[in-house]
Amino acid sequence: MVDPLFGKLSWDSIILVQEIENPNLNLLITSGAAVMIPVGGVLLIALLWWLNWWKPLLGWLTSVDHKKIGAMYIIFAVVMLFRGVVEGTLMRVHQATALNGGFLSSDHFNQLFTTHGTNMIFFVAMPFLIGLINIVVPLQIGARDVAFPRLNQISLGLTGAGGFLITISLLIGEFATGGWTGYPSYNGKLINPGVGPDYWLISLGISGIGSTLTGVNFAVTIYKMRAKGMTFMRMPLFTWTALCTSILLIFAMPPLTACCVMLGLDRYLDFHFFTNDMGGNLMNFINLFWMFGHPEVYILILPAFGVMSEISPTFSAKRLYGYTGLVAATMCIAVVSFMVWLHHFFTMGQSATVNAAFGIATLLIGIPTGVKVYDWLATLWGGRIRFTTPMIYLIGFFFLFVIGGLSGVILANPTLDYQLHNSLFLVAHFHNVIIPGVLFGILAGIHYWFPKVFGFRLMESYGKITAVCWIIGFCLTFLPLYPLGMMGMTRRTVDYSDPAYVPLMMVSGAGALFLSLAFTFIVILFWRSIVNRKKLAIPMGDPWDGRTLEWWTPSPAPDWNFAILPEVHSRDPFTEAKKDGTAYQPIEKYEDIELPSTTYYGLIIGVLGCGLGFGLVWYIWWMALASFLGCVVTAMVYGFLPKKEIVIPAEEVRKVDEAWRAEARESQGVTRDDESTEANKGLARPDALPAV
Amino acid sequence: MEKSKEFHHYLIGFVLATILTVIPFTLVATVGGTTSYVVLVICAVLQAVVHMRFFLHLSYKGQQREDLQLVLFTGLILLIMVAGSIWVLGSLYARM
Ligand code: HEM
Ligand SMILES: [Cu+2]
Repeated sequence: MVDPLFGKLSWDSIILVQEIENPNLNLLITSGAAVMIPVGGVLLIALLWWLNWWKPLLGWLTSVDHKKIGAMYIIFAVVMLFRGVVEGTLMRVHQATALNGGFLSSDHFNQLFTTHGTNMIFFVAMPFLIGLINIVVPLQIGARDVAFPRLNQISLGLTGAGGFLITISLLIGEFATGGWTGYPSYNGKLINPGVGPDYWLISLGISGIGSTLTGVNFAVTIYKMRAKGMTFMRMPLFTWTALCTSILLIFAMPPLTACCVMLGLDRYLDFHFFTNDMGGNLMNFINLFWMFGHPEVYILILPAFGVMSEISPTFSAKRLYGYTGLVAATMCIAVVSFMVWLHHFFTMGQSATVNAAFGIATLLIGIPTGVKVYDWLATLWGGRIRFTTPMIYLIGFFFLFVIGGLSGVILANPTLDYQLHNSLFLVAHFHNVIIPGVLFGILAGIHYWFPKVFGFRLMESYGKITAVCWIIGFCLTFLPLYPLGMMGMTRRTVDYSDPAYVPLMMVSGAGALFLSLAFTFIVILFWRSIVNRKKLAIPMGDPWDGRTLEWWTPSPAPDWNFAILPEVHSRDPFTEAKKDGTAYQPIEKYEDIELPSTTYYGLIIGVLGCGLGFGLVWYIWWMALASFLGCVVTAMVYGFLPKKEIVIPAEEVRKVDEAWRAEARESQGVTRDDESTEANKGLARPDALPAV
Repeated sequence: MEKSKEFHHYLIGFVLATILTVIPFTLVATVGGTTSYVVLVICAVLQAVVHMRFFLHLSYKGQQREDLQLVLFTGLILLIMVAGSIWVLGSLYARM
C-alpha cells in the first residue's frame, strides 16, 4: 500500500490541493497560512539573490561563534513566535464567537492548540533561552567560546530540523490533534493512524536531542571555562541559572526522548508500550512525559529569573541583594522541580497519600521562588532606578508573575485541582507564568544584551510601547480566563452553549488582538532600530553601566571576545575595575589567539535531520535511511578530520584592543540621565550618587 | 596512561559489558519470572558502573570534586525518578 518512492505522500496530502478540490473556510485559513511557507521561501531567496547576501548568510550558517549561534537561535524563535501568536489569536477570536459553534471545525481547532502549544514551548521559548544563554554565558564567565563549538552548531541544526518539521506540517499533511502533551490514548495508531502524531513525536525527538547536547555543552563550559579567579560564588547570577538549566536539560530531556522513541515503536513497529492491550500501560507515558515536563517549565523560567537578577542591579545602580540566597534558591528549585511531576495527573487515580505527598512538594517550590522575588525587590530598594525598557518588563513581571505563582499554589492542592484542572483556569495559570515570567524575561534580556552582539541599542521609544502592549494585552487576554475556568468552561473546547461565557470571552478575544499588536511592535522595534543603527551605535560596549564581564568588551564583541582573558577578584569585577580606574588602562602584552574555524558540520546534520524526519513521517524509507546513514557518515568524517583553527595574530588583536581602550579613556562618557539618548556611545559615567 | 594500558582498559570494559548484557538476555529468554527481573536490575546497575569506570575513566584517585558532585547529583535524580515511578505506577496498579 505504501508507495516505495513516495511513501504515504500524494497530491492530496498538500493542503493547497485539498483546498482547490474541496473549498471550505477552514481549509482556506490553513492554506492561507500554508501559502506563506513557499511564498516566503521564494521571496527570501529572491531577496538574497538581489542583495547578494548569499555569502554573508553562509558565513553565519557555518559560523561556530557562540554569539552568532545565539543570534540565530533568537531569530528562529522570533519567526516561530509569529506563528504561535497568530494561532493563539485565531483561537481566542474563534472562541469569542463560538457560542453554539464558531467558524473553525473541531479538527482544525485541535490542530491549532496542539501546534500552538508544541511550537511555543519547544520552538519559541526554548530557542529564545538557549539563544540568550549562548550569547551571554561565555562572555559573562570570561571565556573565548563554549566548550564544544561544533557541537553547539549541531544543536542549532537539530532544533532547526524540528522547527522545519512542525512548519512543513502546515503545508503537507496535518499536525497532531492531541495537545502538546501528546497522550498516546489518543495518539496511538489505533485511534489516530494519520501522520499528525508522527510529526509531533519526530519533531520533538529530533529537537530534544539537540537540547540535550546544549545542556551538556553549557554545563561543561561553565564548569571548566570560567575566568581565573571566578569561583562558583563569584559567578554572575545569569550564569548560575544557565548552569542549573543546563543540568536540568541533561536530566529532563532523556525521558522525553524515551517517550518519543517508545511511542514511535508503538506506532511504527506495533509495539505495545502504551496500548490498552498486550501489557501496555499508557499511564507510563504520562508518568515519563511529566518527568520531563515539569523540569521543563523550570528550564524555561530559571534563565528568565537570571535575566531579572541582572537587570535589577544594573538599572538601580546597586549590588544584587541576597546573592547567596538567590543561588541557593536556584539550586533548590532545580532539585525540587524533579519531585513534583505527579501534580500534572492528580486526577488520574493514585492513592490519596501519593497525591498529598506530591501536592506538598509542589507547594514547597513556592518558597525559593518567593525568596527570589523579595531579593529583587530588595535590590531595587533605595537604588537609583531608571525606567528603561527592561525595567518595564521587570515591573510587569513583578505584578503578574506573582499572580500566576499564586494560582499555581491553588492548583497544587489536589482537592482544588480536581475541580479546576482542564478548565480555562489552568490555561490562565500557565500563560500567567509563561508570558510575564518567561517571555517578559526573554524580551527584557534581548533588549539588554542586543547591543553586545550587534553594536547598537534597540530604540527605547518602541521598546517601551512594545513592553506596555505585552502587559496590557496579557492582562486582557488571560486574566478573564480565571473566572471563566471557575464558571466551568473547559480548555481545548471548540464551542460551548452557555451564554454566560460570552462577555469575558469577548474581552479575551480583544486582548489577543492587542497581543498581535505587541508582536507587530517587536517587528517595528527591530526594523526602526536597524534603520537608525548609526545613531544608536555604542562602540565602547558599556551602555548601561554594567557590572559583569560581558560589558568589558567593545560592541559588537570581537570574535575572540577578550583580547586577554580577564582575571576576577570579586562578584562585580567590571564595577570594581571602573571604580579604581583600571578598566581601560593599556595592556602590555598581546598574544596570538586561536579560534575554531567555520564548518559545515551543523548545517549538514540539520539538513539530514529534516530528511530523516520527513522520510519517517511519510514512510519514505529510502529517504529516512539515506539521511540517517548520512548523519552517521558525517559524524565519523568530521570526527576524524583534524580540527581546523584560525589564528588571529597578536598584532591584529592589539590594533583593535588598543583603539578601543584609547577611545574609552578619552571619552567623557554619558551620565545615567542621558543613557537613552544618542549621546550614549557605550561609555557609562557612573552616577554622582555613590553606588551602593 | 600509555597507549597499550589504555587499550587494555577498554578491552576489559568491553568484555565485562558484553557479559552483563548476555546474562539478562539469556535469563529472560530461558528462565523468566521474578528472579530474573532482580538479576536484570542488578546487571543494569553494574553495567552503568562498568561504563563509568572503564569508558569514562572515573575513579576516586585524584578525583576532582566537581566530577564527584555531578555523579552524586545524577544518583539523586535517578533515585527520585525510579523510586517515584515505581511508587506512582504501583499505586495506580493497586487501585485498578
Ligand atoms: C501570545 C499570545 C498567546 C495567545 C493569544 C495564546 C492563546 C492560547 C489559546 C487560545 C490556547 C488554547 C486554550 C484552550 O485549550 O482552550 C493556548 C494554549 C496553550 N498555549 Fe498559548 N497563547 C499565547 C502565548 C503562549 C506562549 C508564549 C506560550 C509558551 C511559551 C504558550 C503555550 C501554550 C500551551 C503549552 C498551550 C496548551 C496547548 C494544549 O492544550 O495542548 N502560549 N494558548
Ligand atoms: Cu508541573
